[in-house]
Amino acid sequence: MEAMIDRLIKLVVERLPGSHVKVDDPANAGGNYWVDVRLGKKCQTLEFRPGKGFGLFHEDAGYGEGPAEVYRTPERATQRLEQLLGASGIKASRLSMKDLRELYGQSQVTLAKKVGVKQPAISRFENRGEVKLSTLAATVKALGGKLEVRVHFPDADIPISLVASKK
Amino acid sequence: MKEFIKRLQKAPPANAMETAIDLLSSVLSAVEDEYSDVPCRPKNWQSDGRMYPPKEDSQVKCLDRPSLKKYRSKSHYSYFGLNGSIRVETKEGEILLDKPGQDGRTTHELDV
Repeated sequence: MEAMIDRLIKLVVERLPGSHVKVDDPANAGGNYWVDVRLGKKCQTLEFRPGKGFGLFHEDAGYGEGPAEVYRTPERATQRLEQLLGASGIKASRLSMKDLRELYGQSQVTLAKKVGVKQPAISRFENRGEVKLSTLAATVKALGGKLEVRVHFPDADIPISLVASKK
Repeated sequence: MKEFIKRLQKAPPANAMETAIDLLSSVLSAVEDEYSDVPCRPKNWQSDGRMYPPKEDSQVKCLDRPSLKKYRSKSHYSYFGLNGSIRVETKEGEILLDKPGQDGRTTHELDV
């Protein structure tokens, strides 16, 4: 079996005691693995694409629909499973900033220091959802990521810049 | 999903595995074109809110059933028989569609 799947299973068993893991192996070499992780009445499904990572589906995904979130390592995928199946038991839907901060193991205090704001600002940001895009970009950067704003039209998908381009 | 299953059930049966896969794909695409605002972009892996037919890389092992191909998606298994039969069930085992091939046999009547 693919080493990444073995690693995921090991991590899930360690970090989510009592969970049951079922794997559907691909019929052909290079195909995708499907991993169902069940803990109590809750279940999450991951689709592993070799070379791409672990796709995690939101609750309302329909027949043949793709995953909503992709994690490139078994470690990060397991951390997300802990959020969804563990004690906090949040539903698999769009991540809040609090979920994202916790997924990357930061407290409000440490994140505030990295962003250059005070802790209550992070708290307000997480609870009210009102934030300047520049603060959001700085927060995501402090977590190790990069903010991208993209617009979708029926005939186009376009990443946009938040400042006007110079002529 | 209900409309997709309803139309697939009503469609004339297929006579071979490949035509069964094509039948399911065309019915699903027609329903999504009609009911979803999302353009068809099957190469995208991440969700765009549209349902897509099974892809080859989602075919999973189907032990001891040489007459079947089995495909997985988040909540469903889809089976296609060499005789054109189609079966769609949830991963918990609820059968949503069990359509015989042109010879009248269902997927579960093959390889027995």
